[in-house]
Amino acid sequence: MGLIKYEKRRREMNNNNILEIKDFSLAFNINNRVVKAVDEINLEIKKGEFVALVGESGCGKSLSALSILSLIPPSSKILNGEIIYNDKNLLALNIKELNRIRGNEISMIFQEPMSALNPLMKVNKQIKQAIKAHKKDDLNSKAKIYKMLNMVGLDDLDRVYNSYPHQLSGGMRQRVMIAQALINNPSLLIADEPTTALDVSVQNQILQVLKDMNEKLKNAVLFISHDLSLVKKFSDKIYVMYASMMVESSTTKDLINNPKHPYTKALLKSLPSVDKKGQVLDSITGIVPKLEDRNNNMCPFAPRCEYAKEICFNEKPKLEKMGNSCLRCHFAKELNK
Amino acid sequence: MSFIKLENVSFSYKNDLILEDISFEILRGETFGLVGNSGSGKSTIALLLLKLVTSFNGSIKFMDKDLSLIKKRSDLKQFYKDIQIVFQDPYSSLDSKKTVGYLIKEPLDIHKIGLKEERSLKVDKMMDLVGLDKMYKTSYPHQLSGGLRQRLAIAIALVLEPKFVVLDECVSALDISIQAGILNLLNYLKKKMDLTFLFISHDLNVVGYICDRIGVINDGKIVEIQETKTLFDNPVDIYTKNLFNNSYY
Repeated sequence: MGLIKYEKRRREMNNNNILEIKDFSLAFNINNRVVKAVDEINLEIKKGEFVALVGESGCGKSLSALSILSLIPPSSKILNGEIIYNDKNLLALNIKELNRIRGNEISMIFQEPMSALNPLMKVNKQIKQAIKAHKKDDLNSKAKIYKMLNMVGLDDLDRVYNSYPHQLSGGMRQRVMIAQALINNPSLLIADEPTTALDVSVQNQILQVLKDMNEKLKNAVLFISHDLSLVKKFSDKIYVMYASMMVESSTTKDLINNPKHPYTKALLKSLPSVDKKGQVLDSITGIVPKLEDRNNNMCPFAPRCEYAKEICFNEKPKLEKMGNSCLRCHFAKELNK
Repeated sequence: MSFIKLENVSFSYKNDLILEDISFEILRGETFGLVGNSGSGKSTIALLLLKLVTSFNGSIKFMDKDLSLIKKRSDLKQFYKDIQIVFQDPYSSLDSKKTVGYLIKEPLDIHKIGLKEERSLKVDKMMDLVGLDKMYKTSYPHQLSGGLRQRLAIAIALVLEPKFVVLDECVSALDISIQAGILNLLNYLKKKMDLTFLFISHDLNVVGYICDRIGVINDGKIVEIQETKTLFDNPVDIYTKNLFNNSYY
């Protein structure tokens, strides 16, 4: 017994990761063919880290995030892999154990605050629900909620506290959602495109709130977005996904200044900005392959890649480590001498 | 030469003032950007310019002609030929039951331009210009990807050789890797066909890249109009400052 405890502690000390996704694959059955929507992805989140997961629509970024809390659609099937949180494999837990973690140790906010909040329930009751579900102290929950609403940048607290979601603006609703997600002081907050449905100026405020909370409460954040130019401004680490595969991950600084995968390189070149005014943007030819057309035995980016050779079409690239980066490319070394 | 001129334009809908005393000019050959939050009135301005909404106060001039004075059938026809719009969502703005070739040819049929045989040639030329392969001519919109659909929408708007095109959030629904291609196409077509653009968007990176001058609109009022570079480096108005300086755009 003592040895197991010691072993556990040793692992914790070596390992600052609060969440580790290891070789995780998720598949759908389309026309009697098994198609991987998430293909052997690896992801690590350290305590208090702000991690971004970026990719175009349909690349599997949301599915990966949903799998962390086992919120995947029933038609999907987990093929292999582990999602380790606090030495527990989340995929192996039963529903009771999962519910103890959901909204408590790991919570999630979504893109559409309007559809994610219950329209028939006042703000205070929705947030109280989250406290009650995990049997945290009920006596001063009101004070707790006020404090949290204030922290996420809402004023006019009495009104918000007693409002229904439709009486609030989009930005306020998103703040309420963040407050609800953080009320139990989770160690990880998953934010699935939380700003996409909001106006630019409100977007910034919400990002600022997430960043502030990340600094104050030390909760790690997994921020999912399609917008690379947005996440590069505030995340510690970026993971880039393309057509089911995790193509590259690195610290934000390295990924932006020194991208290694051809997709990341091309993507960064194609981003419009004021500084590129008057220049022709380098666009990536072709389109993202549809889910049913994906072949998991090749590099998914090969048909659009300027460096692609025969091997790219015949073999899936292995995960390689280079400095701070991890990437899947057959020519990783040749391209980054 | 002022190409489009709005003077003290106000518009209200059911007692709500949507636009308040808007005045600005769009010069010939430039790309003028309109930035603002949703509900600030960006798209309403587009509707007014297209004469889709006519009950407003103030005056709008298109090539020195007052919009409210364009009434004769022949004038209207010319007007609708000169001014076109591309919408945000290529999925819902195309007729799903018509083929690509038909959709591009339809405006030519309606405006009775050229002989019938010439029209088909013109469609081919237009498809070539926007980068749509000929093989898609008999396809339906749902068979195209988002990027190709937006190219189709652009082809339909440009086949009448308009002088002025309103681009209402026309790249917002596209993936990043596709966006760049459409932006390049717009810049190319603008030069090639001598167009003037009104580019409406909430994406500051895109607006900054493509626009020559930008108007910032907040709550139905234009708060600042500047050259793109100046606006990004040195915003004056408080609202604009907030938008640009504290922003993660």
